[in-house]
Amino acid sequence: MDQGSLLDHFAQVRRQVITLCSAKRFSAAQMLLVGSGLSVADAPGLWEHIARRAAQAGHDPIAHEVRKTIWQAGGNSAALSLQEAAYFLNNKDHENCIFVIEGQFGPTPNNIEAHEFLTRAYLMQAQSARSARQIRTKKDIAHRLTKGLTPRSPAHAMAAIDLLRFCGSFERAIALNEMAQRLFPQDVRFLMRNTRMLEQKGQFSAAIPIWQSIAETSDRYRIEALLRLHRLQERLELIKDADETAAHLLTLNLPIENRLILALHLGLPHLVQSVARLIAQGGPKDAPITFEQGQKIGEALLDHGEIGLLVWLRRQRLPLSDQVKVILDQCAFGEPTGPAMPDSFDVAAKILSPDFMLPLEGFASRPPKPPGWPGSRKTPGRILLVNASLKAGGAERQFVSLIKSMIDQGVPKDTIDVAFFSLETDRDMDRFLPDLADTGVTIHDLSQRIVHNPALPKDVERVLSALPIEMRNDLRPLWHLISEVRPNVLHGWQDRAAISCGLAGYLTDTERVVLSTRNMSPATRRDKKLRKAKALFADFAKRENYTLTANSELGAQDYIKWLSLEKDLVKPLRNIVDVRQFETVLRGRKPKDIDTPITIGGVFRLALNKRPLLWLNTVSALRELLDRPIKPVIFGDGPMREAILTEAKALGCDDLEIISSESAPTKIYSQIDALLLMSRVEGLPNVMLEAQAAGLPVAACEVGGVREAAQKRGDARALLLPAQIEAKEAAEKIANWLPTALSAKPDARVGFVRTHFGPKATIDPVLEIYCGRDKG
Amino acid sequence: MLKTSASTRRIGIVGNPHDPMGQLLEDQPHRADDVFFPLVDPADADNSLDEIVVLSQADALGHFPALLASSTPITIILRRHSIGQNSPDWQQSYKLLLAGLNEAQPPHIALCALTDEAVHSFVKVADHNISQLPPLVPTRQVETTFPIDRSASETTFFLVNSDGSREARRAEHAAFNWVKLRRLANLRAVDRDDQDLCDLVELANETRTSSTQSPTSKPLKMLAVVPNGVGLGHITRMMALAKALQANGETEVIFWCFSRAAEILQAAGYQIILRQTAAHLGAHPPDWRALETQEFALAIQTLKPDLVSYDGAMIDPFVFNALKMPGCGRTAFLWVRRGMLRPDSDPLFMENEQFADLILEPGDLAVEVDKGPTRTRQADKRGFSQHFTSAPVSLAITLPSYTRREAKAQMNLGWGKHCIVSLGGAFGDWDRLEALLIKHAHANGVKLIWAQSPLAAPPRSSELLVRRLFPLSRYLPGIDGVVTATGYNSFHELMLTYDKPVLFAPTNHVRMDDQASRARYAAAQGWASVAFSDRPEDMDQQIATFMKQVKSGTSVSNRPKQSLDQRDFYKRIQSVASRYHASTLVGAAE
Repeated sequence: MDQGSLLDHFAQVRRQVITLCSAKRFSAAQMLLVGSGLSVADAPGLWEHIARRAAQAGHDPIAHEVRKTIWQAGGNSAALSLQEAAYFLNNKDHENCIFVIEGQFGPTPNNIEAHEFLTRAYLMQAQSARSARQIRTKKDIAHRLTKGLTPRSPAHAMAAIDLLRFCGSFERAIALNEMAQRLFPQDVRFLMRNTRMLEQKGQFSAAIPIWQSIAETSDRYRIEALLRLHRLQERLELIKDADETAAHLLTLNLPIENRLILALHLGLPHLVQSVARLIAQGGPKDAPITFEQGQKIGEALLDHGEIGLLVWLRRQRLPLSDQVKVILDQCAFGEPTGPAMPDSFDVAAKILSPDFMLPLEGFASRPPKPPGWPGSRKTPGRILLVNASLKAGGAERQFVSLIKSMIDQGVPKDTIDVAFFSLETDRDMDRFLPDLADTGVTIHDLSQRIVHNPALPKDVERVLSALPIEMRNDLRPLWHLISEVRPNVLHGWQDRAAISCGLAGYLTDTERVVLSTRNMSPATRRDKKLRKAKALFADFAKRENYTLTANSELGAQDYIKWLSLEKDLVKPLRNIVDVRQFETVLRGRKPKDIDTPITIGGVFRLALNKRPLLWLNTVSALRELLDRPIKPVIFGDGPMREAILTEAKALGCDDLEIISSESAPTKIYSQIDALLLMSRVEGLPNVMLEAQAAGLPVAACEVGGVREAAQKRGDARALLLPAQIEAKEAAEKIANWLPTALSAKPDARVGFVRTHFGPKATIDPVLEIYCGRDKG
Repeated sequence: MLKTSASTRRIGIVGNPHDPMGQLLEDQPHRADDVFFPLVDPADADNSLDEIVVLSQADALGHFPALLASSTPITIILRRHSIGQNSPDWQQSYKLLLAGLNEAQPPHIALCALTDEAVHSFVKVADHNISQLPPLVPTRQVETTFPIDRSASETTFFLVNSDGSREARRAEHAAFNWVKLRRLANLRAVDRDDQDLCDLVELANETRTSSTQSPTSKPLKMLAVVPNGVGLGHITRMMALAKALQANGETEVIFWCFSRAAEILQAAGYQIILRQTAAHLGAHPPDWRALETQEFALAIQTLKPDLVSYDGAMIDPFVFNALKMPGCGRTAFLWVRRGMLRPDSDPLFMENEQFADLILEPGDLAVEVDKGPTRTRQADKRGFSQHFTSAPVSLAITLPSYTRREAKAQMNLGWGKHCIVSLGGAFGDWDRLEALLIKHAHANGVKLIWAQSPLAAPPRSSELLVRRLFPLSRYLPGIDGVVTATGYNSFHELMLTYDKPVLFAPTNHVRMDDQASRARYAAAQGWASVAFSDRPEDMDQQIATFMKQVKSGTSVSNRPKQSLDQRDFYKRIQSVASRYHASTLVGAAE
């Protein structure tokens, strides 16, 4: 073909392509171009024209096919890449979107549109890879993509903020969110994100008024805001406010899935059943349940362990997500390998997770163990200790003390691994991490561990996927860690870790499992969530290679009563207090002048169970009775901070000092002259032991393990107050006791702690348990 | 759906349909004529309801917007702590309810609690106008005490018999409607922490009368459930029992009938409510069961039968579920359960004894060879049930027969010897038998008549006369011999009323009774001969001998004669049914 003919041919093809595209006949245009013999190299403009016009007209698959042809011919351009990335993003193909953008623009695009696509694609990747609906993003990617960013759209901003949130970088996320609020002031979603991040950082009080404001001003997000508000009020133990919010929500005509979620959150089983009965009938007649609602209902029931209701509603043909259906299929209700299929709503409502899996031998079908397994050992072997976090708390401090003492007693540090569900700095989950790191043990942050092969064996997945969400989220990374570390001993510290370790120990055939509770039973503590694990704890307690411990005799008895166990099935495992660390406090203490104020200290979480208002009223009444000035100081933080300050003002205790930042025991006890506890519930209060180790007089209401923690002889004896007592009466008793107690020599107190709670007294029984010698 | 009359009050019940509180509503004096409807969504309630009763504060919260929007008077019954709840739940849900009520101030909603103590408990938590539920209608003093512990599903108790003897019994406490339960026993709450149970027990027990006034007689009404069984056995037996009752007192019998042979009942003049099984409808069984439960409960409330009866071993749970619904507590349950089950039958079905007031086992002449579970095993859970084995039950006894001439005319038969072949329903492999019967009947000049079952296909051979004969007994005088399967009804009909040769051809279907043993027993007694389909080598000779007997007009004189004592049966039924008569109890209180 000569030049002129070629041009004629091109012009003719061009005219026809444009005509066909104008008529929205994009396939015909594409075929014409292919048939004309004009390749991408010959006529790139025509190919791009079809791709562009098809995309504009919403014919994405054709546009994508044409772009692919151009791409394969090496004709990729920035514009084409952006179109292709947008196509992949719309089709939730985050991997190809990332490939196209990074291939064209690099890992940190300067092109702002490309940057948005890449950010959204990475968030989508994290969402699709989430385990048990827990999203985790990678910190390096999040930081790289958000450094110096000015987002171009609300979607861009939200994706960037979420990338930061979900890798635990809350400060950066908050800063970016503030910028987004300035850039997009009408978009309430940034306000909501800001509030959620405040919650994630533990700043609950600050989040409350924002949710209130959203509930009042936003029709669209009112219900969500009220639900969040209610959760916060419950968390902060603002019971009256929480009830009012819940009652208000209940009077609203909530969509059925929100009604169920509210009922589940309130933890009222009869209310849950009442709503579930309506769901079983297809929901309200004027608003039949949609697929999306069914999915939410299914996931909410699964997350709260209401597996029986879920099975029943599936039988009533509630639309469920594929994921939930797979989980129910794995449970195999009504099949020879699974639990019985409930034959009525009432029966179904009683089937709860994890109880329905018990005994685990039937549900998890692990291979049988040889007779005599696991036997006893001379040394513990490899030890994995697990706790939720290292936030500032007595149990966390005890956890670190236990590990230190074990090493002091000769357990090699390279045989000890320690794992935490979270160590996020921004949320102060790592308060004692430096102390622990000093011991040289191997530390694992389960929230940040990368698991290269996340697939689980079928029997493990069967158990894990049907657990309530908190247990599910904890158990998955723990199982992977145990499978890698292969410890001989698995030790779960506090109830949350104990539940996960109990399950994981069984699922990994770990030789010895030790579960240490650190308080009174969940029934006594009125902990609704943990009460769900009652049957599980009872099952663990009866296992030959499991040992349940409590940190006080009374705590052990309380668990035995709660779980209806034989009397020796929960062993007391006392706290460890090394009196040597308080020697400087003891030495530094000097007699005070008559005019110098006596500092009455409280060391506790500012929560209802600790009765801080009673504490404050008692100190206030004490001031009236003593002829010496009194200075009240509280070390701690918590939901009742504001209420305490208000009460202090009302009582005229303006000099009350609340110190939230101090956690070093020596610094705390060097600032006070006597310790006062007025708690409603206690395990074995560590602060009592520490105060006495520092030589201080202690007075406390006699609840839980308080009596066990008190030195009861001579002038240096502790004062035990009745569990139920008025402030005035308590103050009178303290006034009678305090002068003698202050002038008494501290030796008896220190000696008491050394004898009963010294490292050796506690570690020897622990090692006996680890070696399996406690079972006789 | 069954309709209620215009004069009855229609009450919607929001809450668990088997909640004892919902059941006890029936015993409130002012609700004697009310009809109760389970109300899953109060938003659905049309204006035809006279009142809505909500069974707990949790149920009220679950439907709060709909209750607030309703124009129907609403009573919310407040409940204290019960098992399965966390201890402060009842207070929290009460406070939430009050907060909601205070916000909306609805004038049509009233609160009440079960007992005086419960009222005080609620007022102590938060003050509100709460009334106490009125006392229930009085019931007679009883000796038996029934302990209830809701953390366990079963209860063991001592049943005190009328002669003062004590008998250890077990039952699931959820098996009973509390209206029935409070008439059978004094209730006792085992777990004092289950405050709601304590309240329910106090409410149920508090009104007792020592009056021994005898029950006033009134016509008996029975709602008979007929399952869709194999053959006509269930229908025939229930008709026999219905006729026995009607022969001894004014009795109305209505059939709730799943059988495809319902036409037989209709032809006999009985009122039937024709029902469809889930299989008939191709329905999802749980959906079908839920619907059937509601329909059956409504039928009980509107027909107000003294007793529901069921003939058959396997009882669908809809029957029990309905009897536990509000408004259904004054109906006794009669389980007609014949023996002679196959020895390998699963005995689990016997645990349904706990639901029954009376278990009637129709006597079997072959009881000596009964090795089935009803003879060799005892149910673990027997509840308050009484067991009664009667003499054999047969419809033939209660019906007049034709004369030989009339019978032949009715069947349109001519001269000569005639033998009926009645092999029953849809089961059995009779091809060989049919061929041999034709061969030997032909050889002996006997004409064969095929008794066509409404449930079975016609015979393969076109040489046979086909007749639809129900009940067969009326036509027997015109017949010179019978070849039949060995089901309970055919067997006893022939043995009790017929004196000509009989050849039993027992079926061996897994769902049926032990026909082989029954037939073998009859043969051993010289009452009949028997041909087994699994022994074809003997069949030719047996049939040849039988046909010769038919031809020769042989009579058999040693067949037994005992049958159901109808008067005694009527009295037993009346006695059971009268336990729950409302009028008697109210009268006793006066």
